[in-house]
Amino acid sequence: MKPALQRLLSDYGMIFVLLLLCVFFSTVTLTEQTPTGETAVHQVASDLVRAPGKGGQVLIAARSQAEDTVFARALEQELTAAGLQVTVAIGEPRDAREVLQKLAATNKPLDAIAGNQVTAAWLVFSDIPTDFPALGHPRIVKPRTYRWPNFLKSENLLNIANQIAVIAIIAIGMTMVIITAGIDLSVGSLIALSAVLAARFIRDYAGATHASTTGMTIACLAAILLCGLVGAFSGGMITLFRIPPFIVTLAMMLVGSGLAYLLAQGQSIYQIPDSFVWLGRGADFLHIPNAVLLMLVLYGLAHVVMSRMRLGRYLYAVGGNREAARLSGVPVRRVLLFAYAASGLLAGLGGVIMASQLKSGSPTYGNMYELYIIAAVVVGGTSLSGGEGRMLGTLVGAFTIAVIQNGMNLTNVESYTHKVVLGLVILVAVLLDTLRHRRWRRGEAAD
Amino acid sequence: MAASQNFLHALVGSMSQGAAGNPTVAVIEAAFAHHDLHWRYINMEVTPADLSDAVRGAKAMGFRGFNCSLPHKVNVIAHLDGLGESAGIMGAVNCVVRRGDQLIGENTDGKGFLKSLVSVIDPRGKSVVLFGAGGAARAIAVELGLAGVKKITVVNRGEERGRELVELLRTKLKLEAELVVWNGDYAVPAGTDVVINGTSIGLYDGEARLAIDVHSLHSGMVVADVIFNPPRTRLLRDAEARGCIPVDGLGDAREPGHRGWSKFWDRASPSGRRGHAGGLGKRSRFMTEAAPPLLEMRGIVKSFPGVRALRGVDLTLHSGEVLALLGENGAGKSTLMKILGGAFCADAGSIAISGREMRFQAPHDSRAAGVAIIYQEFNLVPGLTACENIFLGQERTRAGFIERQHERQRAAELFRRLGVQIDLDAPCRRLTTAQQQLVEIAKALAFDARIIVMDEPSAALTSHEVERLFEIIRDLRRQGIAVIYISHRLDEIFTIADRVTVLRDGANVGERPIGELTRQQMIELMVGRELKDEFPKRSVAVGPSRLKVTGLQRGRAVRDVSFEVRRGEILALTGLIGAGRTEVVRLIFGADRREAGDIQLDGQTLAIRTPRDAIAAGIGLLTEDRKLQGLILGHSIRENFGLPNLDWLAADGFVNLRGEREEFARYVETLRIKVPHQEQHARNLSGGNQQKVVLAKWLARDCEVLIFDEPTRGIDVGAKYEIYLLMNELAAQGKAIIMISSEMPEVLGMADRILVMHDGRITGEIADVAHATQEQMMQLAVA
Repeated sequence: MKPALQRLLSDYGMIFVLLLLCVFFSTVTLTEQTPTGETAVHQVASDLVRAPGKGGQVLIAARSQAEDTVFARALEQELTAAGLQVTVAIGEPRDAREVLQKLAATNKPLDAIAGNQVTAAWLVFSDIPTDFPALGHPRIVKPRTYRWPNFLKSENLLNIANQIAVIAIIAIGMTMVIITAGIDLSVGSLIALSAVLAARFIRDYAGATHASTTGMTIACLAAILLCGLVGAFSGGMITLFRIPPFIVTLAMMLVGSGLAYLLAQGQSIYQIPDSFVWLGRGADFLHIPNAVLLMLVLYGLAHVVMSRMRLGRYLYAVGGNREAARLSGVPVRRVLLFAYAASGLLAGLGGVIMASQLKSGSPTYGNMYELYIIAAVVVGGTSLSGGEGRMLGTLVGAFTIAVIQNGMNLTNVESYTHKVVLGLVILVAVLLDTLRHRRWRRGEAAD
Repeated sequence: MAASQNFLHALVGSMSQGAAGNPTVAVIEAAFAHHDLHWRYINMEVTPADLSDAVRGAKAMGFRGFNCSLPHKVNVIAHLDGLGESAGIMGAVNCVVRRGDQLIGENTDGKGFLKSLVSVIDPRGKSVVLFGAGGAARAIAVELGLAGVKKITVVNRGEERGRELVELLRTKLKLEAELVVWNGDYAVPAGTDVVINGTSIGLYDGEARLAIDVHSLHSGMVVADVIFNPPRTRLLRDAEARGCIPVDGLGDAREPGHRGWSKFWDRASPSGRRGHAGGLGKRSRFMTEAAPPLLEMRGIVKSFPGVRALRGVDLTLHSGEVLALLGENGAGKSTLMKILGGAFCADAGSIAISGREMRFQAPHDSRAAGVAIIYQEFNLVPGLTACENIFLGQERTRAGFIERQHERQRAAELFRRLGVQIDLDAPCRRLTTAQQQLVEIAKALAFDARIIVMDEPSAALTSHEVERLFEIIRDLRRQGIAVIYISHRLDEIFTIADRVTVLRDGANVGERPIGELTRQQMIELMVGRELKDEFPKRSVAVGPSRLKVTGLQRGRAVRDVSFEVRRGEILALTGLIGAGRTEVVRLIFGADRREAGDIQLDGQTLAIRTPRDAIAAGIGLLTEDRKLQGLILGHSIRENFGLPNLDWLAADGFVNLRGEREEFARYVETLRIKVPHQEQHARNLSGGNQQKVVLAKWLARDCEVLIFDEPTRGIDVGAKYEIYLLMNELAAQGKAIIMISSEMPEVLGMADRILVMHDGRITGEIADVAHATQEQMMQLAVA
């Protein structure tokens, strides 16, 4: 195998697993799809413009619910613009019959009837030749159905991305920490802490539901910075007192969670302006959710840091062999401090995004998230023993987890089973990684 | 070779009359030469009247043993200190061996034969028919009796000889024995398991027929013939045709000393199998005594990539003996002991305990065989109590519950046996080093270890504690436990050891009783190698002082160390492992915090607190352990190279990848680092290439002071030379170079000046390296 391909496989082997999963879920969710909205309008309109075309007589049948009326009005507008004569029947088949009677009274033949899957199937239309001979034999036009996987619908894909954004963003920091051969268990609690802090700042200092954008921004930045400080504190304990990261961050996990409950007094804080959801639910650019955009930008930056910058090299070096790194002049303590601070900051950001998505801050947020985040990192091929791993691998790992969850939702697997499957997938991913390593080591000295 | 410096041979030989006609000597001397043994075999003509004086003389002259031929086989007994089992029963001795200061008579005439017999059948409870009642038959009968056969039927033409043998077997061995006077074809009775020809019928005449009814031989019977020439006698061919299992006489021939046969050895000796085998038999008998030794390691070979750690090492250990295992650092002692302890698997060679071949795959295998290894770093769990540690892994449980009371009693008993008082309930971390060592010894005794290996047991003990340890070792010796004692402290070895085995470069170079060695000889044996042209010559004018350290101090490891390194000078820092050499340079490099001391470069005092400071000041350190400290094995060599150089290979935090690649490519070329590409992981390189990558790291920084800690450890000869050349070149550029090395030839070959350390202090300086000797250095190092 060529070294380049080999490296790609070894760095991003998980990407193939992700693609396989996508193919799998696409296959099993392949279903009959009906166009809706504008697509449906355009399709039906262009069909009718072709025949009967200009001057033709068309009846549009729609039920009285919003979706149908919007469709009917849009179609009417388009067809009228194209010079067709349009009559709209809204309501029950009974209402359609009345309209038909009126049309029959004019004694002009009806060229076509447009409707959706439901209205086009009304019996009243198929009975026209017998009931209303005056109307002739109108063609019944409805949006054409097609087969497409539910999984691959763009809304679903964006939904996956949006759901995983928080986990993926925090996983950036976690990847750095794990690459230094550490671990950060506190991130889940920091999500809650950050969400509660941001919500409280907005409620108490920025004017609650009338808060300005500036006020909200400052509140969020403050929450994120405080979480960064918590991370830096963990890093300090780890480097200065050489307490194992597992213990320090476990402690901070409890402290963070407790603080979140204290600050929120055990309640959700929802006195937040509606505009706050911009970050979590908005989609200003090409329909891509803002959180997903932010995630992509952060991954780009993190990838550059890890692969191009001295800092990234130092992170790998510290995790690969702390002593060798120190003896090569790497400022080991500063590097570790950075990793934990970054992890805290990103957890804070994740908390703010979550608060924005849910338009409230609650101490229950982020429960167990640290484990999903670690899973994303590990599934992405980063070794828990440190020194190796790729930032983009983590992104792939996060998406793998998201795709599995989403796929199980789409295929109606009950939620209890999700955890079982997810657990097994993580195990298999790590197993593959271990086997890959063993193959390396076999060539190595036995001393 | 040490042999060329030692003109004293170990002596063995033979006492007989008509000695001039006995060619044994030629065979054995050839075998000694072949095995490179510093031994002599001397053929001695002794009359019966002089026998007493001859034996006393042999004892006085330190003979390791001698063969006894006619007419002394019986008479010699009166002049010996004791008899082995078979010799005692037979009332005849064919060889005398020295055990301690006693001469013990043994009779091995039947042993070799028995050995080949045992390889096909377990003699216990078997019925045997034996033809003949002469010397050979007699010896075989006694060995068979000792091996536990049920019944021996002696078939002999002469009634008197036969009856004598049967009587001997009945009275001395309490065996079922009967005599059948042999006339006409003898029919082997049904129920016989083994048929043995102990007569000389068939010797040299392959067709000579034994008077035996061939049809009475049945398939499955073992038929043996002591005749070894030709090996396929008519008896054996007939027996094989009848479906019997044949055993030829070659096994017997490997055990020399039978006068009737030994005179034929000359025919076979030049290249034949017997002659050579005979030599081997002789050697092992005198060196290991007749009974199988407690431990016998033979031809142990162990290779690590790039290094052949052991190249066929032999080690023999008897019960109740303290064997000192000596050798320079890296001679292979630890590897050998790890093989004995099951931590490593030997590539080749055998380990036998009490004559039984063992296969140690894992530490518990060797433990089950009664081997306990007390490593320098104790194997104790610090948080568990002394008692819990003793029984760790061998807990006595009932229904899963530990029988604590029982364990406490056992532990108390063990400590009593060792004559020490240790709180059973104290966690081991609270015990002193000496106490922890005793817990280790108790742990060994708890599983009835018969062999205890102590690796540098005295290294961390005070002199008083060492005394105490010796008393305990002597106690163990009295209890029949054998101890392998590894130490660099020669004085201790003279105090405690009975015998010394010296390793050098993974091979045996000497095995002597302690009384035969002087301290000087010991050092010679350990060092022993001649300096060839391993080191490139160099002539650099040594300039003014560059690096100067004063009063370096850290705990007990480094005590008030001061020295200076001059421009263009290679200063060697030597001494034994643990003397504090590495610790000194780690202080200079800022890897450890120094308690006191001053470091100056070119007259400027350096404020070094971390390696980063030292690197910034222009100091580079090639660490002792490349894999643990020098390289990040899982990263590419390019990244390893770049690590200390990112300050100038990166701008605004961004690594200049192209610059890094080009810079490294230059070093790959000039240092001739053999790698397929720069992305190769460091772990996949050979030791030499790994060292070159580390060297490149520091060369790229253009350090003013370069410290090489064991720069050539585990590196092949070619790469060594290249590294020496580089060191010379750096010195020529005016750098100050410190080299730590345990390899004394390397120190002598490379250094301009040598500092020897011992116990954290500098104990000597050798400025005139050209006339220094390894002995001189060793003397300072073990001071």
